[in-house]
Amino acid sequence: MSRPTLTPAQADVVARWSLWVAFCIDASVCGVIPISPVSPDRTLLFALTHPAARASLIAVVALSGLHFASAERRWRSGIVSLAALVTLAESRFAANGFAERHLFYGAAALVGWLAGAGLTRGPNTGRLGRQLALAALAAVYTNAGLSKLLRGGPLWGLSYTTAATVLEQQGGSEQGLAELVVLAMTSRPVGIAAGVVSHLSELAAFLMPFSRLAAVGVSTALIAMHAVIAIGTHTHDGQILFPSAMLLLVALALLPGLAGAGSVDPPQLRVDIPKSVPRTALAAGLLAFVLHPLNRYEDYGGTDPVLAEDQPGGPLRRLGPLMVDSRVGAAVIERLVEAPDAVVVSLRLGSGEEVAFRASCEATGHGRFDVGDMALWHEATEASPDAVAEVGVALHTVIAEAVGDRDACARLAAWRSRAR
Amino acid sequence: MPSILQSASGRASATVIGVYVAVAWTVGNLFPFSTFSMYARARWNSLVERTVVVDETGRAYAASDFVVNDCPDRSEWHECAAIPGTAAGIPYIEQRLVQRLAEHRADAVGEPSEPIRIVRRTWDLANGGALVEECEVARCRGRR
Repeated sequence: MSRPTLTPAQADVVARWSLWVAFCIDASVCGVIPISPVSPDRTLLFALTHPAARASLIAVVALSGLHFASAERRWRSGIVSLAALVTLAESRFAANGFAERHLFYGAAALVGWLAGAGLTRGPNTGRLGRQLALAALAAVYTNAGLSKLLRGGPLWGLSYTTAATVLEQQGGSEQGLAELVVLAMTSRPVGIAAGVVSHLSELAAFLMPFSRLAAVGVSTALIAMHAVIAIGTHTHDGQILFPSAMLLLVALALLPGLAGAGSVDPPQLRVDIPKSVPRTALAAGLLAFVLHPLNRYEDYGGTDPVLAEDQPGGPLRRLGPLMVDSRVGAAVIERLVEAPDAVVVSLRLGSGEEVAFRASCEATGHGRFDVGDMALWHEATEASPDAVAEVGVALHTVIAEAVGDRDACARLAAWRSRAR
Repeated sequence: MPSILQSASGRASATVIGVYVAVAWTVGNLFPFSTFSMYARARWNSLVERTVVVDETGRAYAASDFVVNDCPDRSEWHECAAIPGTAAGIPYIEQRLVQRLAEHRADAVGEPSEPIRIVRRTWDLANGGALVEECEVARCRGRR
């Protein structure tokens, strides 16, 4: 018995209305969740965070989106809806100082849809629009996978990231399903399996527009990933939900009769796309990814510090007992960088200031934080002397405990050798 | 690659993917383009910590579960000595906790109130997520 399959026309309708629901969700989140401005600002974008402006923009998104969804070939309304959503989101991000990435999915898919509509003539604009909406959604997940590859390495899935993320995002009590999810994710095999599957699914997402099998397999895994995150996390503001992403994965990739190049009628294109165009675009994407400077990135919206370009040894993840992201006293290690004659340990204090310590066996003028023959001193900083002294003592203690009775310089050399 | 570029829709799809990836990795976050770098850094520290509000029995609550509290400001919290190797955690989670407590803070909690504690819990993921330490940073009262 064959499974019921949507006709292309039905699939177009499902996809258009799903896009509309996704815009409405994203616009509502943009407009309703309070903004916490990082600083007083008087820019135009900031002015658009006024409640009246936000309400107006939400109305534009919803009404123009409704017009777009209710019939084929209303791509101009889609552009209006997209423009309003971009304005709403960018003004919110500008005020908050960070971008909320769970709001990007619907707009990205709409960009794909509009590209399809713009390329097609005749009555089948939705076929290519739906296909390219999925392509844009696939690109979103591919980028997430590439980011993990770039910043976490190919073994990202084997790290503690997945389990740590779930455990740390339980701002409230873990009960019922949430408790089960936390219990499962903190088990090492399950945590690894979840990490590996989610990373591989993201990296394989680019296949979704080209293969029905890939579309079903990858979208199922990604929906499961979002579901686990939604159930297993509860910050002080509620679950971490990706409703638009989940809805669009179902509507564009999972429902029978949808994704896969084979399911799309040959569209009547306004212009032919020679093979050189996708090849050039893919090469440009690969080039932009490869050339992306590893030392500049954003996380949780904030901009991480830029590593000094004059550090020939480069960044380290771990040096003996010191590990990036670890606490030392009331400070957190932000960077470990190997310089020719020292290792630089940059720490962020609880007050927000940064202080860098140098550990070296080639320097003279030893001071109070030294560990044996290893000099340990701090660079100029705006932090208070008391705070610097406190973290200096804590750093000294961590290193001294790891050195134990052995020669400190021999230990430092061994740590540096192992870290490379 | 050659087969996916045979159809017009395949070529268009590959173009959209290439353009999105290229733009995102060039401009960073420009709605709706992004590299989606959240959680991309691999965490190899097995020790993780979280600051939570608990009642007398140790049951944890979201800060917003308490409609009123008289908990001290973040600057007055006891600073727990960190266990070496503990991951610093996700900054915004504790920021939200502090914000939500501040939003519901009052000089008089009123009745019925209960004693609550703010604690920093540390778990070891290498040991099945076992609780390693619970350090109290503040004591106060709250009303749900």
